[in-house]
Amino acid sequence: MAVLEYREVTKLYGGVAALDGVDLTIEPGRIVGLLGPNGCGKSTFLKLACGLLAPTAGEIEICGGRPGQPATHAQVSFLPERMAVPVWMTAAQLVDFYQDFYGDFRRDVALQMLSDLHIDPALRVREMSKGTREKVQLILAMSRAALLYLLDEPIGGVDPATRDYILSTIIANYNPEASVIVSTHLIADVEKLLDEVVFLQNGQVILHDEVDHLRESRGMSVDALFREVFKC
Amino acid sequence: MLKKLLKQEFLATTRVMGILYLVMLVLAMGNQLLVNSLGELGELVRALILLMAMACGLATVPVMIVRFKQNLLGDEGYLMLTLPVSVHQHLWSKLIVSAVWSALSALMTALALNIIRYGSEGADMPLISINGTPLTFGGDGLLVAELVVLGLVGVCTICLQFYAALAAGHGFSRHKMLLSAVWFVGLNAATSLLIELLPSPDLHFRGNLMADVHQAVWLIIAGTAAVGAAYYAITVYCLQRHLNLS
Repeated sequence: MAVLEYREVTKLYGGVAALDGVDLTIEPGRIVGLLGPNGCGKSTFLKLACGLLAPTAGEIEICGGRPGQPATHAQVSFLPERMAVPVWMTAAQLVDFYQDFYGDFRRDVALQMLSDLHIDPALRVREMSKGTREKVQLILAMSRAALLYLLDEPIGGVDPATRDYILSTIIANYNPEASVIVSTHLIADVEKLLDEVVFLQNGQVILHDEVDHLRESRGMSVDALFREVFKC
Repeated sequence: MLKKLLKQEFLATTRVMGILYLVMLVLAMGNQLLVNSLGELGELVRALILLMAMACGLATVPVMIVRFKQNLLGDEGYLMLTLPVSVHQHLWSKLIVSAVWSALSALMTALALNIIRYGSEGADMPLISINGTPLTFGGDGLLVAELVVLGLVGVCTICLQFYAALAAGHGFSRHKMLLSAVWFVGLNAATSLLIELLPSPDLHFRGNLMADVHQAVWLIIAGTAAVGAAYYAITVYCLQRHLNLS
């Protein structure tokens, strides 16, 4: 069974299509790069999958259920682009918060990652730098044993060394039966992780293929292909 | 999950409400020192402190409304609305916490007022009185309980009116706060119109004052709860179907 299925999904914002008739199926055990220029609909795609937005038309099935239902939320780990955790909380309180609400949360994994990244659990989010805040959010999202991870720009605000740690963490911490959808502009960094890529342009899927097949058939990296397709 | 939400709600709101109560008590106790040392200006200062202490008590509902907006319709909404929790549980947790804080605020305001009155003229008069005659509610404990229920239902309905307006306004892509204000005014007008159009209830006054008062209070509670239920339905609908986080 597919972990995520979009059937003719359209999302309009005041008459402007952020997503336009998207058909897409993601199978379990895949790491998928959701790529495209600014404003192409990547964040809208992820927010629809989480039930944070309702589609104007079409249907979405996620882990066998509908987006926005508590049972679906229990199986999906979402990392938003924005800082969504309460800033008055400490990292330790956030770990407790996640453990309270998610049965699949792995406290030991979260605490280990906080330690590896030298983040003091007693530090409040408001006292953290922007990069540290992003790391904490990613740690919380990846410490769940979810069926589907939806990561919106997970490495945008961190330094290259941390980026490597985070990417290896994504590989090390996700359940092989689960799928990961990563939206990012830093294609060269994530390319080595990806099984599939989806190119979005003007709210439409213009390419969905396996990374290995793309490299063979096009004779170039995903990063190079992205630059060619979306050349200004 | 409701218990876990309640725990988080109390954790988050205690920080603000605790400060408000502390300010109330400091103002009330500071009043004793200031009034005695300021002479004729003392009464003016006392009146100002009284107003400020009461404002702290009345701040409960605005605090709860801001909490709703930040927690569900702001950036925190990305976290809260992706928890394995239903919209109903979110709303009930917020309503229960609002009701509890409102009741506590009423008690704290009464305590602060008594501290402010201590040692002043008329301090021996009851806090709730008409021309010095204490309001005893006919010695009827049931009526007091009914008025408490009415107060709590009223607080929840006021909160729900703001929740409904905010949830509806935030369904739009732009001018969310302006459109929330428009929704609030619209809901107010619609509620007033509905009350005007509905036939007057057929009250059977039995010549027993207290029985008639009980009947009237329950009728007001039922009406307020019905209006609250309508606002609740609008809020749930908007949060489930028309959520439009930035």
